[in-house]
Amino acid sequence: MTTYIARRVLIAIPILFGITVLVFVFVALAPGDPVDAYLRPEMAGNQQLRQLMAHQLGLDQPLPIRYLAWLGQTLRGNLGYSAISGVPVNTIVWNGLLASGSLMLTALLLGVLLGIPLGVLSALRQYSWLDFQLTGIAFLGISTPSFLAGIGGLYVFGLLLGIFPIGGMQTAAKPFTIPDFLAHLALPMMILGFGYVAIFMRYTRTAMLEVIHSPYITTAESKGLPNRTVVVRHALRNALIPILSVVGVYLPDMVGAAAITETVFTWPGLGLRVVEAANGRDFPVIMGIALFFAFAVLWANLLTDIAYAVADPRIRY
Amino acid sequence: MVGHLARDRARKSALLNALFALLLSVVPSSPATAAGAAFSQGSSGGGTFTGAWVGPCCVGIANANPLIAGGDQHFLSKIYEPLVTYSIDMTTGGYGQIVPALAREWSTTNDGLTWTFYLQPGVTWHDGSPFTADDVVFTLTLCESPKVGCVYGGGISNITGAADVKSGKSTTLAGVVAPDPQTVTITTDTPNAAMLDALSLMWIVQKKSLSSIPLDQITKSPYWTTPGQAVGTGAFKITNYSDGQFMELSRYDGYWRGKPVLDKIVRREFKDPATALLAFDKGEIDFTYVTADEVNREQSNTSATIIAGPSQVDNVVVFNPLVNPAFGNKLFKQAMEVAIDRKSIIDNLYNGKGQTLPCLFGNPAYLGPDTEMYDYDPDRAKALIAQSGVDLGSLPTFTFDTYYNDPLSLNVMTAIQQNWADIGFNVTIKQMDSAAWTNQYYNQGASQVSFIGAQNGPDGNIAATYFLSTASQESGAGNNGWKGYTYSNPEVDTLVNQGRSSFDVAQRAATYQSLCKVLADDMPWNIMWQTTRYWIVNNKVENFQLTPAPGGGSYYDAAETWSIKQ
Amino acid sequence: MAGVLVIAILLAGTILAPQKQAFDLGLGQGHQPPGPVHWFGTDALGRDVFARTLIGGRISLMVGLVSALFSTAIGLVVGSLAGYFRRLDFTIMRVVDVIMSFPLWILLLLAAAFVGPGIGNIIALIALITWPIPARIIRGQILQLREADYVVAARVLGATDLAILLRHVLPNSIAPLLVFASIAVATNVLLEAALSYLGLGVQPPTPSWGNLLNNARSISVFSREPWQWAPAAILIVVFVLAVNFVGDGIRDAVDPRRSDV
Repeated sequence: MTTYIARRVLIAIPILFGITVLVFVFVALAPGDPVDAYLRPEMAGNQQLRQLMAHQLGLDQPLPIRYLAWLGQTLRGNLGYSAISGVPVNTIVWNGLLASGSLMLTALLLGVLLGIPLGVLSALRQYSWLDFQLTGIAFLGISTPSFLAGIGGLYVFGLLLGIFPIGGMQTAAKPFTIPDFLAHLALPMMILGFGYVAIFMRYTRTAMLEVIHSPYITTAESKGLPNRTVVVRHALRNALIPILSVVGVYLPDMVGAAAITETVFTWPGLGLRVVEAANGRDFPVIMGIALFFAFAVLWANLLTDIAYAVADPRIRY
Repeated sequence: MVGHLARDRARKSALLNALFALLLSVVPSSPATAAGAAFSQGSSGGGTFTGAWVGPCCVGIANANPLIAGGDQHFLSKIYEPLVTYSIDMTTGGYGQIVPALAREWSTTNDGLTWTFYLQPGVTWHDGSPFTADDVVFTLTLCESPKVGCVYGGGISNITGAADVKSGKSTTLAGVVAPDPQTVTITTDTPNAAMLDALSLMWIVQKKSLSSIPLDQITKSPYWTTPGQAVGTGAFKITNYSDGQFMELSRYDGYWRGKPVLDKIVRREFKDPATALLAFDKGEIDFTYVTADEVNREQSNTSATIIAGPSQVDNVVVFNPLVNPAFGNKLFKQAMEVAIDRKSIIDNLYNGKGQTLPCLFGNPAYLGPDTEMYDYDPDRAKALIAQSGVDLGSLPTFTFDTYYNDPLSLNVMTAIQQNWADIGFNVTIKQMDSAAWTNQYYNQGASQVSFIGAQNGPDGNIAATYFLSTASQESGAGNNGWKGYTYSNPEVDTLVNQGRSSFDVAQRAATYQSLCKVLADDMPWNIMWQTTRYWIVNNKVENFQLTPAPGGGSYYDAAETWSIKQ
Repeated sequence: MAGVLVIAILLAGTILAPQKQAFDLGLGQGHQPPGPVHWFGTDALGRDVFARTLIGGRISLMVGLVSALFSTAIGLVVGSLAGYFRRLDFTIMRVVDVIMSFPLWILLLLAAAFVGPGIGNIIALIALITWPIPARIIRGQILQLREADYVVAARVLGATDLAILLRHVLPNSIAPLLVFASIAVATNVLLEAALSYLGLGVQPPTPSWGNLLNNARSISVFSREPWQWAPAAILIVVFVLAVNFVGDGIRDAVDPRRSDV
C-alpha cells in the first residue's frame, strides 16, 4: 500500500506540470487574446491601444518563453500577477479558496449528512410513498438549473420572506462578523447542498438496495440481529464503496465548481474567478487556479482510492 | 473666443439648503419615469448611500484606475474630476453642454491652436495638498506615455509633442505648459474643436503621490484601490475596500464645491444585475441599473423612481464587405435597413422608448430636416434589391454574430432575422464569447453580419473614430474597419476634418448634418437605433441626478448635494 | 412500465409538434398568459410557448438521452478495464485524473471556436467531458468485486477474463451507473443551455428546454410570467423521473441478486 501511495505521489508531479502545459496551450489556442478580452468591443479596433495593451500584458513574447517564465516563478512560490487587475495570483487563489471552500465544504457536508441517511431510508422502504416522495424531490433538485434555484431562492427567501440577505459574503461597509457571514452563507449553501443531498441520496439508495438483498444480510437478519445493526454494521459497510466513489468524485468541487451560484450570490470564489479569468484570457490567474484545481483532483482521487482499501481490505492495487 | 464663466451651482445650492432647511421637501412619489433627475430640496445631512453600479456601463469595483477604466465612470467621478464636464439637459435627460469643473474658465486664440485654462482656486486633494496646474500637466503627459495604457490618449493626441511622448522620444509633453500654478496652456498641431469633449474624460490625478510609482507599474498598481493611497479632488475619498465585495467612499470635507451632505457612498459589487435588482427591491441598496425588460415590473414600485435617458449607444448591424461583394453595395444595405421594422421592435421589445436613427449621430442638432430616415417598407426593400443588382437567391445563409448575451438583444436579433427572411435574406444567429468575437471581427476580419453597439456622441467628432479613412489621431489606422478593409469616402473625410477644425457651433452642426446625410446614404454601417437606458433610485435619496451615458460618462451630477431622507 | 410510457408520450409529443408555430413571431402579442389560443401563453416575441416547449423537447430529449448514453458507455468500458486488469489500472486512471483536473470552461472556450454550434457537437462534447465520473464509479465497484469469492473461483476454474467480466462482475456493478445515467440526463439538458452562450449547442431562435429556462434569468419573467419557463422545468423533471424508472426496471431485470422482487 505504501509503495502504491508513493507511486501515486511521484507521478502526480509530472501530471501537474503536464496539465499546466496543456492549459497554457489551450488558452493560447483559444480565439482572442487578453487584449481582445480587455478592450470592450466598441474600443477594440483602436490599433494604437491594442499594441500598447499587448506590450503591457507581455504578449509580444513567444509562447514557450512565456510558459517558462511562468514556470520559473511558480517553482519559487510566486504565481505571478493577474494580467487584468495586477493583484497577485497567490492572493486571488487564497481568497477565492476561502470563499469557495466555506461554501462548498458546508454544502457537501449537508449533502453527506442528509443525503446518505435519506438514501438508506429510501432503500429500506423501497417503493413506499416516502420513497417516491424522496425520489421526486431528489430529481427536482437535480433538474433545477443553478441560476433558477439561486434567483428563485433569493426572490422567495430573500425578498418576499425577508429571511436572508441578498448577495455578498457580508454586509457591505460593516465590520466582518461570524453571524453576519453565516447569514449570508446560509442560502447559497442550502441551495448547493440541496443538489448534493439529491445526488448522494440516489446513489446511496441504489447501493443499499444492491446490498440488502444479499445472502449475508438475510443470514444476519435470520440470526436475529437488531435491524439497526444489520443496516449500519453490515449493509451500509458493504455499500460504502460506491458511495465513497461518488463523494470522492464531488470532493474537488470544493475548489470551485459553482461558478453560476457564485455569480448569482456575488460569492467571489474560485469557480467565479476561473470563469472570469477564462473569459478575460488572464493567463496567470487561469494557470494558478488550474494548478490548484488539478492538485485538488489528484488528491481527492488518491484519498478515495485509499478509502476503498480501508473500507474493503481485500482490495489490492 | 471667450468660454463660459463659472457658475458655482454647488455653492449656491448649499446656501439654498441652509435657507430652506425648515421647509418640507416635496418628493415625487409617483412611479413615473423622470427625465434626468429625481429632484427636490433636501434637509438634514449625513447618511450612507448604497448602490450597485452594474450593467453595460460598468465592470466592477476593482476597475478603479480612471486612466484605463473605460467604464465605471459615474462612480469614479465621485473621487476624481476632469477639467471640464457636461451638464445634464433636464428636458431630454441626456447631455447638455460643456460646463466648468476643475477649470473655471477657458479661452482659445483666434487660430484655435492654443487653449488657456484657468483653474478653480482653492481646490485641494484628499490629502489636503493644493491642486495645481502641475497636476494637470502630469496627468496629460501620463496619458500619452506608452508605458501607461491610458485609453483616452487618442482624443488629445494632436497636442504638440504628443507623438514624441507616445513613441518614447520624450518624457515631457511639449504642448502642455503651466505658466503659473493656476493656469494651463495647451497647444495643438491642428485646430481641434473636440478638445473640450476629449478633456471631459481626462480625470486629473495627483502628481505628488503617483510620481513615486514607476511608470510601467502605474496601470495595475494597488494605489487605485487602497484607502489613503488613492488621491483625487472629488467630493468623496476611498476609505474602505474589500475585493469582490464593496468599496466605501467617505465625504471629503475640503471639497471645493462645498462640504458634501452625505457621510458615505458604498458601492456593492454584484456579478448579476438581477441580484442587484432584488437587493434594491428589498431595500438593501438605494440605487441600481434596470434593463428595459425589467422596467415594467418596477413601474409599480411606489418607493422608487426610474430615471430614463438616451444611452448615447447605438445598436448597429455591420455587413462585412470582405465576405461578399453584396455587402459593399450601398443599395443592398439600404434595402436591408428598410426591411427591418425598427419601430415595431422598439415598441414591443424596448418599451416604446428609443430613437430610430439613419446615421450614427443621436444628437438632434445633427439630424437635418430632410435626412432620409429609412422607415420600414418591405416593398421598397425589394425594389432596392432589384436596383442593386444583387441576386438574393444566390446568397448563402450567413452568420449573424454578436457578443451580447442578454435575452433582450437575442430577441431583437431574432426579430431582425425574421424581417430579413421575409424578403428572402437568411441568417443564423450566433452568440459568442466577447474575446472570441473581438478576435474574429477585428483580427481575422471573418465576421459576416454582426450586431454591435457603438457610441454616438456626445461630440460629433465621434465620427472620426469610426469613419475616417486615414490613420486618425483618435485611433490609428483601422478602427473603422478590420483586417484588410478600411471604409474610405473622401467626402466623409472632408466633412470630419471640417467639423473638427471649426469652432463655430452653428457651423459644426451644419457640417455634421451633411455628414449624417452622406453616411446615411453610403451606409458603411446599418445604424438601428439609440436605446434608452434606465436606472432606479430609492425615493429616500434626495437631490439625486443622473443621465445614462456609456461607461457612466462624465457629467456634473451634484453628488455633494445628494442626501438621504432620515 | 410507466417510465417507458412517459418517455414514449414525450417523444410522440415532440415529433408531432407543429414546427412553424414555435418560430412565428407575433410582436404585438407578447407576454400573454395562457389562454384559449396560446395554451401556455406567449413569450416576449409573441411566440406560442406551448409549441416552443414541445419543439424544445426534441433537442433536449435527444441531447439528454444520447449524451448520457455515450458518457455511461465510455465510462463503463474504461472503468471496467481499469478495475479488472491490474496492469492497466494505474495508467488508465492517470489519464482519467488528467481529464478530471482540466478546467472545464477553458476546454469549452476552445471547443466553441473550433467546433461550433450543433446538436451532434454538443452531444459529443458533453459525453467527452463527463465520462470520467462513471468510469471512476464502476472501477471502484469492480476493484471490490474482483476479489469476491465467486470471481476467484471462476478464475480458478479457468474462465476467461472476458467471460468473468461479462457474466459475473458487470451485472453486479452496473447499478450505480444507472443512477449516474439518470442524473446525467438532467445535468446534460441543463448544460446544453449554459453552453449556448459560448456559441455551442442550439442558438436562438431554436428552443430547447434548457434555453427556455434561461428566460427566467429576468426577474420579471421569473415572477410575473411563469408560463414561459415553468412548463419546460416540469417536463425536465418528468422526463428524468421516467428515465429513472426505466433504469430501475433494467436493474431489476439484470441484477442476479434480486431474488425476491
